[in-house]
Amino acid sequence: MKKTFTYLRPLTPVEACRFKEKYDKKAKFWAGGTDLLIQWRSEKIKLDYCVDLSFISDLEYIKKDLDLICIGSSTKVNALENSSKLDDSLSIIREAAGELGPPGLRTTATIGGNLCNAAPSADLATPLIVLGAQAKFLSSTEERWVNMDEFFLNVNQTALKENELLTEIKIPIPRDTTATSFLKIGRNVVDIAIVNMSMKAAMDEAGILSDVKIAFGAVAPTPIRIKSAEKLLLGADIFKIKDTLIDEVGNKVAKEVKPITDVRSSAEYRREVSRVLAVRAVKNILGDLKKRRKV
Amino acid sequence: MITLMVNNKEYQLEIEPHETLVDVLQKRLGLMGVRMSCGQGECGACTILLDNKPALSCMMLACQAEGKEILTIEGLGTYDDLHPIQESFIEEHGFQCGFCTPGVIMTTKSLLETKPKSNASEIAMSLSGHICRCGAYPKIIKSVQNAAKKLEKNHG
Repeated sequence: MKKTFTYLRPLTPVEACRFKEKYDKKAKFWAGGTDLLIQWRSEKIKLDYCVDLSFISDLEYIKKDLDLICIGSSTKVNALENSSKLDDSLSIIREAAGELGPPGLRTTATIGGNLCNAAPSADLATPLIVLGAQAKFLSSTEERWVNMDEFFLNVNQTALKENELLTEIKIPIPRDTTATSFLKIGRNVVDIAIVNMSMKAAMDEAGILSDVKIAFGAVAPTPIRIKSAEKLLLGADIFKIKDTLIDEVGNKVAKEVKPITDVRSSAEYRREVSRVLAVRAVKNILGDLKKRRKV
Repeated sequence: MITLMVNNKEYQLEIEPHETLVDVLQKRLGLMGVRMSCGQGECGACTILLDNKPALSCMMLACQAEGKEILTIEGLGTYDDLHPIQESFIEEHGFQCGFCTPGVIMTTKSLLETKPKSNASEIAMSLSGHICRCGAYPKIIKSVQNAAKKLEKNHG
């Protein structure tokens, strides 16, 4: 008979933090549990105290606050997928949520769990990185905000300190001259990604690109920005961009990614897919921005 | 001690914290229509409805389901009074061995309640988390379409 653990059910975020402080490394926050359950069963993690966040109703919301969208960390992936608040440029969050595992999993899996598990392939990571999201970390005594850029430190490792709980993600609503694209290649649409990526770009009145962000997942120990590829596009005119520049973006991405070979794919294949997805994303975004210029 | 609401009945159960919902439904309540197969969220056999949404009962602790309405295939119809979706799967031969069928039917119920006029590709997408080793997929889709028609008729 397998060892079991002690189950704790806090009803507020602060109560959850207090449990964590009390039991420290012996305790883990349990969101949907879809990743942790498998890791616990296969003895990849040790767990003496399970701090179940499922009954903290304060952590489940998607709300608009002036020019921000705020998402509670226990919000279910399925709620993201169907949220009308995540429209226009923010719809890449909805798309990523809609491909995160099978539909039955999205009913219990949460945004906070997907991020805090910090898989290199976490589907919600790259959309939030390119959208410039920030994450709120709460402890029993203080709170702080961390950029999604700096959230992931290594495989299964985040910037959260042992006593901190991720409680909210806030995302600045992009200007309407912004376009975004989310692309994922997996064995099928609902499987763990071989490569996933997001891109965002804005244009000024003359159609010059600014605010270009490109992020890739499953090609390095953490989801990563490819800043050298972003730079190639900054200042480019959306009507005059040559295919050679777009190919250059693809090549730059292929050069910068650091994929590994595993059960899902070889490193070489991941590199090639990264090149192809970068080119597709740039074309999607240019197409989208050009349409808006015409209107 | 937890209280679970399963198929409109309340159960008070003494369980271990690490027990998954599928464990409790099968081993404590004897609901063997809930199938346990891959145990890692890949196959969909253990799908039940949690507050009317399809959920994988092998991927959650039973404790997490407290306060929610759980529906399994046993709560859908009886041998003498089958649910229209169950009838449709029999009429269209939407299965061979039948192991994946309860999960597929639970997802179908949720789909047809939220999107009664789903087309074939929407049906396929919503069932994308279900693996049928017999490969009965085309007939499963036909069964769902047949069920949609029956339910529409029933609602007048």
